[in-house]
Amino acid sequence: MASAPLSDSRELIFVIERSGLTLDWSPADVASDPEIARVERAFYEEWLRDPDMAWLHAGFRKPLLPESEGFHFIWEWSRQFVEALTRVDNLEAQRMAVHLKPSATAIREALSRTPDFPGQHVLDARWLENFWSRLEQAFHTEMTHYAGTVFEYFLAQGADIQPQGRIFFHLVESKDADTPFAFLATYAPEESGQGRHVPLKNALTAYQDAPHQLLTLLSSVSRAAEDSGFLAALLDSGEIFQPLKLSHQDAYRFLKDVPLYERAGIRCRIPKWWKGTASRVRATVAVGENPPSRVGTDAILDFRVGLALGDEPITEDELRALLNETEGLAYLKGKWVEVDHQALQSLLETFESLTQRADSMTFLDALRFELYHGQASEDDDPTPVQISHGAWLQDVINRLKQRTLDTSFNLGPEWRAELREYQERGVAWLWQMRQWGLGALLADDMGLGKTVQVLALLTALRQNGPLSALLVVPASLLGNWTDEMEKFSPGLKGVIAHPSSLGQSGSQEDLDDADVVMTTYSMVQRYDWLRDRTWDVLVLDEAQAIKNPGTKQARAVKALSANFRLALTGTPVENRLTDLWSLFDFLNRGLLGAPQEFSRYTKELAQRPEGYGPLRQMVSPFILRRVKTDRAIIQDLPEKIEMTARATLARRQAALYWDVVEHFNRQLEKVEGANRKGLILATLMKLKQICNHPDQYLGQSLFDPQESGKFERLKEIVETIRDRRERVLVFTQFREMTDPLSTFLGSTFGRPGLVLHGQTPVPERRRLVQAFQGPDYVPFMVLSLKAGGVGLNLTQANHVIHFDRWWNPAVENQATDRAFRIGQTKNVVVHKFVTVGTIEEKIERMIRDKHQLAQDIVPTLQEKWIGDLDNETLMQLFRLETRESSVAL
Amino acid sequence: MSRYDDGNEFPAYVPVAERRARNAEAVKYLTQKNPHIHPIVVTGRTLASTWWGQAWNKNLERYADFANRIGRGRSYVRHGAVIDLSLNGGMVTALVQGSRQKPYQVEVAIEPLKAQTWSAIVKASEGQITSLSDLVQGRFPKTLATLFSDHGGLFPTPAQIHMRCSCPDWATLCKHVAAVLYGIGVRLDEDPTLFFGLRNVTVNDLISQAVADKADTLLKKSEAKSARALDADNTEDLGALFGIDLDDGNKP
Repeated sequence: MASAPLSDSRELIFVIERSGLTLDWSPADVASDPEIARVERAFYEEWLRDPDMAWLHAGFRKPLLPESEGFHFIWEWSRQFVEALTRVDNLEAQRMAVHLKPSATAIREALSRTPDFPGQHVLDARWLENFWSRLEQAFHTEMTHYAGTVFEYFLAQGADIQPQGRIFFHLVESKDADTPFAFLATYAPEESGQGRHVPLKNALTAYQDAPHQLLTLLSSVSRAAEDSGFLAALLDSGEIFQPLKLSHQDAYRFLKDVPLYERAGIRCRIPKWWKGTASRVRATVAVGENPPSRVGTDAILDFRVGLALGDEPITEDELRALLNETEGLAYLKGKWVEVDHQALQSLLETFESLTQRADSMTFLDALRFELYHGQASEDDDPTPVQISHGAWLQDVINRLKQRTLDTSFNLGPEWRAELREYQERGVAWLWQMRQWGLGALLADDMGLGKTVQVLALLTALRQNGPLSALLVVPASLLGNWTDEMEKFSPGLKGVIAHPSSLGQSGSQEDLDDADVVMTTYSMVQRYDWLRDRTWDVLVLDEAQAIKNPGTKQARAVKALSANFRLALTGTPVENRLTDLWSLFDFLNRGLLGAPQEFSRYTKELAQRPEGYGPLRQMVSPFILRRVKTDRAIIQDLPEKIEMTARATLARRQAALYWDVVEHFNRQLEKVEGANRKGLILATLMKLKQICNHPDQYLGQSLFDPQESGKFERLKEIVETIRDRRERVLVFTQFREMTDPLSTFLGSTFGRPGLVLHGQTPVPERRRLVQAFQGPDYVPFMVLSLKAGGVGLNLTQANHVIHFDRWWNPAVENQATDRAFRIGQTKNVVVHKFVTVGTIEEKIERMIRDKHQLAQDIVPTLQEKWIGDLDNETLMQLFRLETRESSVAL
Repeated sequence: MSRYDDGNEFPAYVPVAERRARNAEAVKYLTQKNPHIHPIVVTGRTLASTWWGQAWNKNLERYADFANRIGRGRSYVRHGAVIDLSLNGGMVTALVQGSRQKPYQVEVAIEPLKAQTWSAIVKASEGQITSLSDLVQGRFPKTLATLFSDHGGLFPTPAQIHMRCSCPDWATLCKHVAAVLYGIGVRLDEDPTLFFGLRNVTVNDLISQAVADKADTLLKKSEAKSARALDADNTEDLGALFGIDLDDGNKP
């Protein structure tokens, strides 16, 4: 089996731990850009040498890896520390004594932007504060060793910002009509207390004997003058050393360059109105006062457009009059207004185009406006359009953002499952999203019961009238869905749209009386007629299948038409921006704009200090994601969740299975007594081997994962575990399976794990357990059931996979308890593998149906009980049951 | 000039690896006697990687007096033949391992910078306040490159370099001296501040004088009253206009 090439397809991941942060490599789907790979490697090495120092240094510079959400989040937090440093009054005097604490607001904002990365649940206010205190330690260390000034240190770090120096530029309004502004440059003498200023000119004589200090003072002015023509002229003429009267044009040039001065470490005291919105004209939009006649993303909302200066409305004529003023500042209605021709012109165009589309503002447009522009606070919102919501829209947006739920659904008498409290909330959320016609992404962690929530929604909808729902799922999960639907909601009539049940030329008529039609991603491409009707509900399971918008599969799925679209996924989707785009292109087309528009937007976000926060806030109303570890949300989750992972026989497996059963059938007539029992047990063993992998049965060593349904299923589960950076125990009863499994898992995880079986010497076992329980990330351990089933303490794992089955709950539970025992801090998920239609599934069903008997029968299953069955019953048990979904095509 | 031109002096070809080994052996032997020796070690593929080292080498190579013979020093220094080199102001002393058992002693003396050249450089630096501030932090600002290297700038001409070697061939710029000249470049690469010492001047002089000159210039400019200067009767009124606590800097 080919192992994953690690070198060119790995990415740096950022894992939050209680005590700090770990960096590690994870296999990536696509080869990364060589330049990014180089930057990642360099940062990783710097981090290895001294983690806190690496983050401190990163904070001085622009984000190295703007595409990585994890990096961006931590970088941003380090950056805020550096920015706080620059705001310290007289940092030079403080140096080693500087003590900084993040503000409560900063912490709250950071927590609201937390991306979904491994270990995220331990990230809280304390973690963020600790991170700052470690950066502070690192800064103190630097200051102990650095001989130069703090200012020089910032420059040496290549910082694009400077600590606040001692130079101040002041701009105030004056009474003079011709020169309505006044300018002065001062410096704060070193020994001075708070707020004492001396004209800058005096520095020239005061520091005659301290050339280095004078150099520091002058160089920040020189540096700023390199970028600002206005300042360069002042410096050149010597006017910088005099108090000046400025015209409004000069004041405007000065104000425009303020960011350049501040970056060079010069503090600017300027009128408040310049920083806020008070001096800028904006378009105002009031939308959605009344509910639209019908709900849905394309519903038309009522819409009013206007213009305002600060809080005061102005007319279109007044805006045009402003455009006739010279560029700079103009005095209008008792205040100064910025006259920026380009900005005003584009505002006028925006205003006109808004006015024109007043009758075509859809619900989705309004949401987009809100989500793109709505989160900036009033004061520093740079966008020229201010949206205000009418009563109805405001109500919808509030309820969307707060996830106010609609619990008016009714599951009816035929619903068989007990919903947990969080599942009930999930259904209510889906119900509400359907009311609004907004596409929803249910992204709960594996094991939280996404299937049951969807089935509950469908059942509730069925209570209200006829239902036509289409479920698109991977072939390997058709069995799961059928079973759960039968079990939880037998009242729903389901049909499988698949050649195995409809034949190659299946048609629409076959589906007419079904409530729920289930099909696979590949059948969506084949059965054109699935696109001929508008489904009430369209559900995609494992929706990451359409993450690549260019594939035929994604295009075919997106061409389906439905009133309510729902996508399910257990992997954290928020981390890959392009995946997100494709999913939302399915759920709410247009919300994230066209692909080019979206990629422009995300690039722009990468440059912004708040990073991808706005994007996350934009999509979060449409995503419901609960994680197992989040006890605040999920209080009633059992500590151990058992799931059946259903696999489907691959083509070659099915053929071999048939052969063995046929052979058995012929032999069965001929043997008796001990021979008969031997034949039964041997056949049982062969069938189990085939279910694991054809190569195990054939004694070959290739183990191509595509030839086994179980390997495919294992991959799906393990990728999720990998993305969450959790650990898994994989049990098999066959020692010869331990190596192939380990190789396969190693390539899926992108790093090796451990193997423990009967031949492993005892001292070696102790070492393996220590390695697995240790601080380094060891993603998996493969154990033979007999050797690993007892005694060991492997609580670092919170997933247990029973790859093949002993059919003895006691033995399996004992093995599970390697992870599920004292010392386990997470919920444990147990995945029990079963191959659909085979002996595995039949015995499992038998155990489930006769739960009472199971305890007595099963331990001796292979010894006695099975030998006592008559030939006909035996054949029923062994024969491959070709249910619709049991063979993947 | 090719580096295979050593034919006469190496009658038998000695492979590079063997030369390197021999030089390393010499360093080891010498270290036992004197732990303070400081050999020249070239690690990268180029002899110099910073502006200082590169400019030093370029300066050497542009003079016709040197051009013909200095190339032979490159492979010498690269193979670790300069087993000790110390700078003391403008005086450079070194030991170079040649073909004989005993290393040759090399001395290079560099004349101090002419006062006239120095003040021209200081004068020109006055306008480069930000570059000087960069220089103080050990970064080399590109804007100073021309100033420091044009028309000789800070770098010595062959006439300002005096050298001596204990080998029989030293009168005609032997390869041992050539190796030492390149060795100086390597050392400058490691610590550029040594360069100023080599010419008997200091960075601090440069900074102090340039900054003082700059302050003077600015002061003179500031005296010329601007047409848009604000008339303020006294510091206090000015402070009131700007809403700050303003004084003239003299301690109360």
